[in-house]
Amino acid sequence: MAKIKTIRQAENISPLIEDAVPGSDLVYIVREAYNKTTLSPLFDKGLITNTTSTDLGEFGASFGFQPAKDDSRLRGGRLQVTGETTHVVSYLTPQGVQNWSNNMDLSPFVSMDPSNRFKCNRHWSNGTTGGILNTFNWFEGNTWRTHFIRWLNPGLSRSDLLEATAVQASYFGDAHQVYPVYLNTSSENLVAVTYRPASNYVNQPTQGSRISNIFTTSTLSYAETTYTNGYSAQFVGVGTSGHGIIMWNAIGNDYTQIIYRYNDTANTSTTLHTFNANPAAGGTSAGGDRGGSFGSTQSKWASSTFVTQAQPTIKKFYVPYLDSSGNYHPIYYTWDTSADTFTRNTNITVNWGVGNTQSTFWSPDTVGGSNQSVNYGWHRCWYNETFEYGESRYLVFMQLHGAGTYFDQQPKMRTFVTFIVNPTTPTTLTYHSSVEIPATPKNIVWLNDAHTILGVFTFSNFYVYSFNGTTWALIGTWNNQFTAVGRDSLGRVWAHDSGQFGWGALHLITLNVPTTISVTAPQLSYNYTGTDISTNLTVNAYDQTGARIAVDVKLVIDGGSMVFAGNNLTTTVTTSTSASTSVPVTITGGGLSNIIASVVL
Amino acid sequence: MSMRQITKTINDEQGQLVSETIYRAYFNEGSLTVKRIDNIDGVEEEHAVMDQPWKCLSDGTRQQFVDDEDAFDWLDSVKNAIL
Repeated sequence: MAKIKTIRQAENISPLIEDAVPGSDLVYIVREAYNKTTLSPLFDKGLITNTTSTDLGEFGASFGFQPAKDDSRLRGGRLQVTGETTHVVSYLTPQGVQNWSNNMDLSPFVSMDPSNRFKCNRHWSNGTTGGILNTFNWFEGNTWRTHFIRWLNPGLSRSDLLEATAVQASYFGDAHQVYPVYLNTSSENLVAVTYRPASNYVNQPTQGSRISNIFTTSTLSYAETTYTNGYSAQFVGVGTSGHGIIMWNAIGNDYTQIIYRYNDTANTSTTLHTFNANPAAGGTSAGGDRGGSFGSTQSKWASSTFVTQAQPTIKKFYVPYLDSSGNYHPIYYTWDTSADTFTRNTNITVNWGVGNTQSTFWSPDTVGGSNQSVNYGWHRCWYNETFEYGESRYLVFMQLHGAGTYFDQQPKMRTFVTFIVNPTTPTTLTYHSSVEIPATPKNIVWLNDAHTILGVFTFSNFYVYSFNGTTWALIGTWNNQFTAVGRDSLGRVWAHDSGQFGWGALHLITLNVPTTISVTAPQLSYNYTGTDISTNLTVNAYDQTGARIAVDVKLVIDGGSMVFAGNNLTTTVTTSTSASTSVPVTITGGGLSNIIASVVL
Repeated sequence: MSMRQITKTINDEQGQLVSETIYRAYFNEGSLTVKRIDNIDGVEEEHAVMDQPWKCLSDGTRQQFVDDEDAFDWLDSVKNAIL
């Protein structure tokens, strides 16, 4: 890990803002411009964060960006990178205290649509104009706000935001948490998942909300539909007519889900389905309502949607559900995107393996539920996510607690369990593996688009796991109380903590992600008849997802029958992300030679 | 077009009133339009919040409204869940 910058005084600006204009090679570190790749500074160039309004101090000043060490506020947006990013509070608030401070950043959960993830720094385009919106979610006491700053890219003429002036900095109104996820290109509205807090610390999601005027110099216009308490809400995806689909999931029980289609032009919703009947027993599920047992109330977050080749218009997803016996049997949903009709299947079979039960690996959170903000706030959650690895689909189930430490003495509460999905019967899950997080997981961040590299925040450390087909392998531990971790457009992982002086510090994390190297020859064997034979080896390196990557690969010939160019027994080549790399070799004699390949780190 | 006014109240766990919201539901040509009533400085404003062409049953299925009374009764029965 490299420490890039310690912030040495109060700065009313995010310490890192990646330039979101497509193709830009710049980042701004405390406003000053740097080359994104090399991190070398540009002399006397930067970002102008004051707006053209008369209130030049509006950006930052009104929401105090200074990240003091004892800061009790969750400050979303400290890391303004363009990939998925999660923010956390770095200090410990006892869960018994009625407050918002342990609430989790919802960034990993609010969108189920792989094509429309929430990102706090994003360039939106209508084809003729670009609008860059940076959002900052924070809360303190009984005040929630999502501040924003935005720039325009008229005519899409800008290649970056160098010396650009922000057109507006403001917030979406008191008591709002706004997560814009999707641009409706017909209406040119941004569709957002929005929460309103109740004075009794209960979450209140809206059925939909929109942000207008993203491509104009006019003041942004925000509108929302009605909202109510006791639900989590997620953006499911884009429905017919380009309208967003929002799903509410009850906190007080596991079986109520309500699905809305949001008309962002009219700012109205239509209830597509109400599923609030107790599931019947089916498969290995006992069905029913667990009531307040097995973990009290929980916010629950559904998986991303996915499709199969056989049914490309039917999207599927899993919603966490514990049956009346307290056993995890996620509800399996299908969404016919041609008609916006949803079907749910609660006839679920979970195989835990011979001699095993759920309790062999996992137990529900029984330490929470002490007050209203714990019961109905965002302090705790169940989250399941699905992903593909190789030819198989998997489902991983997590239990998180934003306060930290509360599961430290309960290993099974902090164990993430992974299932393999039956390829022909997706309602059948078979236990695959489990990984015990060393301390209470406070929140997570996905570190690749395939969701096979996972960052986990705990109170004292940050852990990174990579799924390798066998388990979630721990590939890195950082002894830092990070307040944010996220990816930039180059796939690099940035982190932020309080730093030496309490004003924050930026870090660049290097992931030692295992790679696969393939070295092949055109023929398995050659018939040497006394004349040298020239041929080419084919070299490729692949990442966890099976995609080609560019890395330096060292090749060593072990044997006396073959040499690289220049009669060398070793060579180093750089692989390509787009094509195989050829390496000339000459067979100079008979006998067996091995080639040993390794990545040069 | 027929109309029914519906009041939604939210109480906390101690039974204390947290919020009260008034809606007006209009039934026209088989479909409901629901509007929230905001009273700002004594001036009443209607804001459309929902267009509902069917009623949603608890098992996830949908049914067409029989008539305006059926539509209003359904909305009143689910106001705490979906509004």
